[in-house]
Amino acid sequence: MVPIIQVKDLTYTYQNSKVPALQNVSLTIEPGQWIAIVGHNGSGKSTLAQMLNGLIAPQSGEVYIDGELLTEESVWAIRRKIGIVFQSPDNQFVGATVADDVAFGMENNGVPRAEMIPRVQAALAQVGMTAYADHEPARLSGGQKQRVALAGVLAQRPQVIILDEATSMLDPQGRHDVVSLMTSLRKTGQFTIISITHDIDEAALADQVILMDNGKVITSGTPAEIFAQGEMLQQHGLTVPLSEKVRQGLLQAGVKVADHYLDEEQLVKNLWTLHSNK
Amino acid sequence: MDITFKQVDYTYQADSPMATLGLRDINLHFKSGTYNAIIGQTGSGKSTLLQHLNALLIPTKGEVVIGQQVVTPQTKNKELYDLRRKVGLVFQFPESQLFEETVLKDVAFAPKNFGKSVAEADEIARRALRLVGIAPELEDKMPFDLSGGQMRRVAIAGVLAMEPEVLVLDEPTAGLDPVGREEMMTLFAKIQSERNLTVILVTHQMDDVVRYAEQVVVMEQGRVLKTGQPQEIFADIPWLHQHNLELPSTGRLVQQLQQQGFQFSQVPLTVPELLAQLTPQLKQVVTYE
Repeated sequence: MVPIIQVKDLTYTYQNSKVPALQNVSLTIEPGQWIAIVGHNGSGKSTLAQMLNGLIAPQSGEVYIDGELLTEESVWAIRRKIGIVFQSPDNQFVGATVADDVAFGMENNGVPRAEMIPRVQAALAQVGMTAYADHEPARLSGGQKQRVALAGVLAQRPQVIILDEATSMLDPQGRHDVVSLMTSLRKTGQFTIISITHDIDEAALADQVILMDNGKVITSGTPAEIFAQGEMLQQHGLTVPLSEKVRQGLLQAGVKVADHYLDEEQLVKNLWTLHSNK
Repeated sequence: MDITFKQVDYTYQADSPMATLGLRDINLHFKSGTYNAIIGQTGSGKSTLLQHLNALLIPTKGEVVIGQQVVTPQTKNKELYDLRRKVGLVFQFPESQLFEETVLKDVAFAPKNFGKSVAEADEIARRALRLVGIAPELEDKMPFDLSGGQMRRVAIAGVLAMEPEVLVLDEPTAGLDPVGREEMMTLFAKIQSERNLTVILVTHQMDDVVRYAEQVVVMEQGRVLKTGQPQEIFADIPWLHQHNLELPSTGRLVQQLQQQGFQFSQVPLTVPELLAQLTPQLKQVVTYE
């Protein structure tokens, strides 16, 4: 199988900066996976994301999307394969109505109007925003705005969806809505999802977690593998999920809880077997 | 500074057909030198309430007493000059309000504006910058050349340079990573105790509410639904669900454990509290059965 994303030895230093934002980053992502790239603010994760669709050109190294090398010539074709939802819900709207906004990307790519209309409708239905098609984007809540931004990406039928801290500015309800939407998109099996986040609960939903710091990939693995290394996560500016904090605390108190990472549901099951009143 | 709301109503676009009620019958007391949190869903009136704390909005009915200053619907703008100096507001994403050429100038802007000489203002600004952990070498930089976290600290230093007695924080950690969030909250706690400030924090981060707040105010649809200590507010999980309020991060786990027959005399609000109540209910490695 051709990897959907392959990155070889990427290095990039911003103008006016002494330290590189990315240093020799290499990684391979298989199609259909949900990847969480985690790291603290300034760790290089957003720079990496912007390099995947050519918003920033690498100073050295190569990016292959679906087997094709990203170059000045191929960048337009590649951008059709990769959609990005950015952090700030307010800075990514151009249309006067929600429907216009969702259509914008397709207009740019010369999709005929007859095809555009059903695609807008389908995308809005997919994110649960059909009722808002004629609303002004500015008047929506943060969570609704991000769902519309996601609809704009979906309407272009990408193979990869990148969410660059797309939930970090939302209130709990908005965050919940966007995360459950990501979960339902994963179930369709049509997309590779890359979520760039420092929300460890969001990262827990991924198939693979990639930890970055100082512009380098520190480690990668399943959430269970990564979350079992609590000390390392803290060293790199992150926290462990609650279930892991509780498991560690119980271990220290001498409780014979499982010796590996458990999510909350698994932890509760495990504790039930240890209940002293049974 | 004590702050008291007495039967405060606020109506947006009052006397017009578009009039909508922002606040209704607010009665509240924030005691001088205490740490308070306001929670509630987006749109519950939290921000409208905050804007009354330094009279950016003045009540349509009732009165707000802030220290010696009584703010009523009749209060004129020019009477509020002193008040605005004493109440520092840190809005969401305060870094978006930086505007000066250098970090030092930006922070010194408020004291200069409030009549200090350039030398005095710079001195106050330097103190505020040290307090938020910005090194002297950064003082001559353009604010926009700093990292996001540093920019936010500079913006907060700008508020502290007014030497306020009340610090109002609207989602001050939104968008920060876990360590940045922790550092920011520790910083506010430090400033609060060193300067004996009255802090009013608006947040969705219930773990911060549990950890720092002495009094919690719950808002819903422009009204105060409940006030109390964190223990009282978070004790009733079904009530919190009914009002669409988040639980502290331990809450969901506690509920699942209760369903499996674990008993909690008081809802544990932090990990240490949870461990203290949970451990005795579990079989230990060493058993004498």
